[in-house]
Amino acid sequence: MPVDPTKQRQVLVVHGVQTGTDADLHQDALIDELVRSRLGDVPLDFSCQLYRYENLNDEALEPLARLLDLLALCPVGHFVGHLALELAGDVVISLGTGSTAQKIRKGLRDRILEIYDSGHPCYLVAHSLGSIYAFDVLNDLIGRQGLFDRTSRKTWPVQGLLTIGSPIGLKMFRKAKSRQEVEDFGSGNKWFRWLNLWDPNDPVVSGEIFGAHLVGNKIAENYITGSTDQGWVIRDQVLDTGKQWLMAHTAYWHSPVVGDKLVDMVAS
Amino acid sequence: MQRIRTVPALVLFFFLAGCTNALYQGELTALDAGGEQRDFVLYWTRTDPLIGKTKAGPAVLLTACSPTRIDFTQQAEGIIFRGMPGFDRLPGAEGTVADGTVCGAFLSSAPLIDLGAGPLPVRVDCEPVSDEFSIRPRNYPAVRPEPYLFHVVEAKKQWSLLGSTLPGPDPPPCPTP
Repeated sequence: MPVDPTKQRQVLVVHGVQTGTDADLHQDALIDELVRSRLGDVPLDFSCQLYRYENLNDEALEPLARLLDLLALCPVGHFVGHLALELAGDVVISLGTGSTAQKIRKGLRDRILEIYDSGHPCYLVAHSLGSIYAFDVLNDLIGRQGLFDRTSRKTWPVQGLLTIGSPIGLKMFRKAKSRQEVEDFGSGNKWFRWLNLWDPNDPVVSGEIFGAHLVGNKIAENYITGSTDQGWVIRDQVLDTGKQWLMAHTAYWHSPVVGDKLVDMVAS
Repeated sequence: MQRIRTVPALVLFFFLAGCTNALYQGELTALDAGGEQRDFVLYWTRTDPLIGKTKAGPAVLLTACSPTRIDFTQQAEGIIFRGMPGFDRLPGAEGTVADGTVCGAFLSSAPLIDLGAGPLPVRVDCEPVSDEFSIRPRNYPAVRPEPYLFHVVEAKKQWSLLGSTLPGPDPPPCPTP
């Protein structure tokens, strides 16, 4: 069933590294509030939903958590150990090709195709590690027959991708074969937009724990080949979130520029 | 002893995380790409940390009655609006722009991190292109030979220990018919 541009637009948010459980995550509400605050009097009919996968991560890390319980003797060690395990564990899972990473990708792919089957235009917003899953799933879908006919946007299950604070420029994520290039759309005159916003002090983007100031680095734009068959418009954009270091990594949810660029993408 | 260690730690944290956040904005009324008189608002933020490098931008241009938000970013060519194939075209051209085409620029030699209040000439070279997914026609200032002149003011400036994400200016309202 083709996408109907007159139907309500769906913004599907993919979260990044998290602590807690799925029930603790509400980034869809943050994006909803942000976009509404930047709409002015533009009559954009949209809704936001969040793809949650933290419970899948927690399930996979459960055996390690139990081991940690045995090793951590004091309450502080217990808290710090579990926090580190939750954060680092999420990253390790995403780097692998194991069953948990596959389940997360399959869940995201299924959600995108559900929206597609209902005929609603879908826009992906992915933060941090979520951008890795979003990229993988999107690239896989573009390579499939019958989807993403470049001559008609109505065949596209995803109309645009916005990544914020993405670590996709880091070697540890780029070395996977499936992430070394974007799938070409083939010939046609429609263009798929990928906007990658990053704060120069965001340590997750730079991989520098102290948030070294990145200048002029290409991240997503490294995927541009110059081929007319590629079909992607890829833009890296440095964004001043107003915050420093790790606080910059969580400030995108409140940036008016993120809201404005989403309004622009979702409404056209 | 505890206090002796806490005070330097707090001072260190203060120097590492404290910064001044500023919001710059300018407004004007001019013809849009559809030939209508419209209000436009241009804004960007700048963060000056106590220790570390200044960061700023992008500069975003809001157009009344339209969801289009074009941006001007610091590139090798200056502070430019990079057109997107499929979404922008040069006047008179049949197709849309090639990727990387400069569709507008700040006519200032200063980098964005050094720009402040004052007159700012801005050039627009392209026209917006819409398709069936555009809820309203894409829109921004019309192409014209002379630059648009924004009178940029420092709308907000504040210091804070952990930095602030400043809210942007409201999009200009659409005049009621």
